[in-house]
Amino acid sequence: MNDPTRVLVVDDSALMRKLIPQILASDDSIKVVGTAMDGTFGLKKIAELKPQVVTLDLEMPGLSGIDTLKEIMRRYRVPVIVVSSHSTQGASITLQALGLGAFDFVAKPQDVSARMPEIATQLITKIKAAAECNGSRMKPLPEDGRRAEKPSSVSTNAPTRVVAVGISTGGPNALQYMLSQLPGDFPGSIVVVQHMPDGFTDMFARRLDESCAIKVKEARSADLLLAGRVLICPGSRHIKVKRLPLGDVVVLTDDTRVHGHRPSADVLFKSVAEEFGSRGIAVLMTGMGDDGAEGMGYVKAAGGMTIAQSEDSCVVFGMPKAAIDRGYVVRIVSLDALANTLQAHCAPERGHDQRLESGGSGGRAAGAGRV
Amino acid sequence: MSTGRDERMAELREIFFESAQELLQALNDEALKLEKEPGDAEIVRTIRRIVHTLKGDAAACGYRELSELAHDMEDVLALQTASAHTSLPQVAFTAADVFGAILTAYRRRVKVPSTEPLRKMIHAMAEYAGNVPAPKKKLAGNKTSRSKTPATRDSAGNRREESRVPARARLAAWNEYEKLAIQKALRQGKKLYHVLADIDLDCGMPIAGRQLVQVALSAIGEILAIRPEAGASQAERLVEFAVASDQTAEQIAARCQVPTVISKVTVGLIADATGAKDPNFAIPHPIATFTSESAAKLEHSPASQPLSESEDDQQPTTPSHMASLADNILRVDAERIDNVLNLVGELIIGKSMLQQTLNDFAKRFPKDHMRGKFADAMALQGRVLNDLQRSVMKIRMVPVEQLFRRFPRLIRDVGRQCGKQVELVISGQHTDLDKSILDAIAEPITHLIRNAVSHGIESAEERQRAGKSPNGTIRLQAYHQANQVVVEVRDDGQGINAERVKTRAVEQGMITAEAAAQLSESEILDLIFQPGLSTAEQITEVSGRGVGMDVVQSVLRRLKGTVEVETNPGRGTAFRLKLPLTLAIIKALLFRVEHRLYAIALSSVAEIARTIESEIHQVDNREILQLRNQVLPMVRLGRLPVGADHGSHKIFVLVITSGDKKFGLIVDQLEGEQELVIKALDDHAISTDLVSGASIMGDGRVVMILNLSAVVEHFSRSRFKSSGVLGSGMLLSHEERSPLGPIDRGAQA
Repeated sequence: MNDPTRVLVVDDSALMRKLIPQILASDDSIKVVGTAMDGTFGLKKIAELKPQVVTLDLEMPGLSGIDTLKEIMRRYRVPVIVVSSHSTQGASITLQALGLGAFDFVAKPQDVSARMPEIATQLITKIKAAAECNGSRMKPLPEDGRRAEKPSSVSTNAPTRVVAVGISTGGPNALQYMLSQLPGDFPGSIVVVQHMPDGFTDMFARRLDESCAIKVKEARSADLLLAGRVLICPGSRHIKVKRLPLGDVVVLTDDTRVHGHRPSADVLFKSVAEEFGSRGIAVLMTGMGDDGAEGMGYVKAAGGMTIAQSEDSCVVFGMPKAAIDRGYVVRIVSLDALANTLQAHCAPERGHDQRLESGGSGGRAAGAGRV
Repeated sequence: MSTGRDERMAELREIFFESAQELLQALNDEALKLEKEPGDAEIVRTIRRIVHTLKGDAAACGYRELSELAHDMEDVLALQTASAHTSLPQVAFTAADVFGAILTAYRRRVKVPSTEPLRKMIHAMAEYAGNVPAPKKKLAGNKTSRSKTPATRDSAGNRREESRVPARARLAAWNEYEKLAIQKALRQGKKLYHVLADIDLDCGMPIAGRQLVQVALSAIGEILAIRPEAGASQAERLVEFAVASDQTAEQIAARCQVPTVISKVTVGLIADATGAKDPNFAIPHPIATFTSESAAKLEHSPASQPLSESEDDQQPTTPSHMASLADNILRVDAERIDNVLNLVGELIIGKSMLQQTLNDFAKRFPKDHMRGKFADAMALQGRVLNDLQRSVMKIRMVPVEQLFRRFPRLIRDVGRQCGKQVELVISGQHTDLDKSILDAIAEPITHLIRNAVSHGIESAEERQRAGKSPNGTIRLQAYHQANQVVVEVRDDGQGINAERVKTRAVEQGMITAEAAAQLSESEILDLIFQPGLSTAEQITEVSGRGVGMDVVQSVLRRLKGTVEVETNPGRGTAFRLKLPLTLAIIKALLFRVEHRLYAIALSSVAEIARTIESEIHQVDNREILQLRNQVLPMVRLGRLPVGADHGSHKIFVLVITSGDKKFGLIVDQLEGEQELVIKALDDHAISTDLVSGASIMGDGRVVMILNLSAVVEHFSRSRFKSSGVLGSGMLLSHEERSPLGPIDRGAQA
């Protein structure tokens, strides 16, 4: 534990090969043992230097980042943190990398002089988490080309219950796994806070939509909470739910970060508790830190259901554990069983929750006006 | 904000500038390749990757304009259609230029220049791409087409996009709740109106204006949507409302009249329960956005397109030249190496001091047994010092390729300007040269190449008439020769017409007609390096060698190098720049003139001859010496000896080769040879260019290092100018040498 975490930086930009080690130098428990300018060199250096974590640029000459990643996963199983750029292709390829088993990703550092501390914290925590997870729980998603059958028409139905999901590191794969098991006519409405930088969530939602029967889209303000639809909160905005006369919607805000997070699961959970009371379900899945733990307390207090992903199925058992430790979690469920659990809880015949019923015990916000 | 961090940032920026320069070079290279192989998807991918890296690096350093521009460019390049776009090489060239200009602006901390040309090109490419997969677009309407063009999806792009979209089209983007509200209102039989209020921003209460309209509209109907949305920080001139009401458009418009605050209100019927539009108030954007299923579906259909693009990304890209660089390369500020080099220089001075002391010691204690030990230690130190010096010098050496890589683009551009097809053949690009020398010759070589293309190479027709291939060829070559590196620029053009040069020089009064008559061909060619001549336009046209040749000369002189020209009428011209391997340390021959100590590079001394004054003959205003079977022109640095016995005065003659010329330097006394560390002299310290630097000897004496090419040039020029005066006494001070004063000033140029 006293030995610093050994990191290898693979990037074709000379600047990044200088900058990333510099960022990491601010933490004594991390040591950059080497840098490599392309995938081929990177693989060589992994064999040579035995790093515990690799940061990987995906756009490189020669052996591409994705191919490098595949090789790393196949031969070394070293956790890889993808350093990813802000572009449409960047987002797409990054998500592909996560699907291939990359531990997590960070956005390429931007405007370093102004935002150094923030960038450093993010990168350092992710590297540490990656070093601890020791690679055993990261598995590439099975590459089945199965396209989910979509229901032919878009549901306009109000949902039975509102499921709010908070998820972070390891999230993209876990979420895809869970959502792909839900049917297209899933009766609940799902809102997801996935910690992910701006610019990636749109592509993330598209990819999920492609591979799942349930409909997935990146949330826009005033999107309706519909049965059988998942709304993913865009990066660097907060998402809340709100009940309006004609239907229930999500609202996006640019409020300040909560415990360093935006989007924050705490914000979402709290609004679910306030607006939907016992019709709310809060789910905390794999991820670092404790975002969502407090919010879960509100959901539970308002009579909603609270579910945490089990430790053995988490890449990082941080957020679920934080909520469990606080005593806010009603059920602990493994990733395999999550979809079934949600279906059971959202099923319309289950007890008092009826569609279009506008009840709810939580304190509703007064004056539901226009958004 | 610790200083440590600032320093780190400064360092990062330096790295950024340097690697950005490399990226731009690579961009130029790839663009040239693409021009040869249009549509090669692999090259396009490489270009995109280069732009991508540039974008990331710029963003990291907080250079927003550059990163955003690169971002847009990258996005366009990712489009399927990009590689098919015929103007792509041109776009890449423009990008390299515009990025380069931005970089320069950043470096100098001045305003970033206009990026409009590139933006236009990028936009055109995006449009082009948007037009190809046309069928969906019509149905999808404004909103969908936007999300389909990645170029416009980033935040910056979006902003620009929105400003182009006509104001009233903004309402097309109903959110889901608003759609719901609209559907409900229509079901209830209400009509849906679009109200555009133009608020007079000078009225002093623009935000209140919005509220006034809002209140007025609420009184007659239900406001379903407002754009811009509430909470906008800035007052907006145009505010749009979607209003469900059962009143007529005229009634609504009348309601919204608020004199002095609202300057204009436009009301249009978007839809009524039957879905029909009021023909008088037709609004261009379609009501289809909420009445038909198609819009909702299409919103998601583009997903498949970016995905397939991402699959392309997986394919390995060609390794570029950057991959060939080893990973263990350190980027070091040249200044730091110079510091080390300076210290090595001091060490060498220290070594000669020690040697001197040792010699004194040996003289005083010839029998002392310590002498041998001292000598051994000195020898070892000398060897190590030599190695050290060589190693440090090596650090400064870079392959000339770094410079040569710029020229394909230059030739392409100049060739286009002149309407000529010119090929560049490069060889010897791995020859190493001191970095500072390489930097210094960039301009002269650029100039030579530019001239070669624009003037040296003839037009295609002319070439064909002369029986040559219509395409001109320029050979750029670097190689070692003795202790020098030669960089040669050779064209296969028309050559220089020596006669015309001569005529011109006489016309311009640079030389007298009779002096001109005596000039050898190579001496005539040397005239093109004269500043006066080079500006003569006619000469430029005729001979093709014009503006700025004197710059070439002066740079070379500063570098202690020489430039030679060889021309072959009808067959071409070659310029050879002969450069020292390095600037910093030379092996020198030391001698005295008028009791002062001077040095010249030993490499330029072919031979040392002893003779007496009477052997020197005066012929036609110049002194010559017959050495064996050769007649050597003499350069007398000191003054002519006076007195009766001057004929028997013993002198040394250093036979110098400078370029292709040979001549003798008359010196009084030889002092031996030594390694000298050249220290630059600043212009204030010395007012002549005959001396190119100075050095300190082991015993603390200062020695001046002669600039041979300047000496030669002086010498030959003084002959044209002042017949009857011997070219002697160059190194004398002003008082000593007053009759020859003007010569020096001429050389300062």
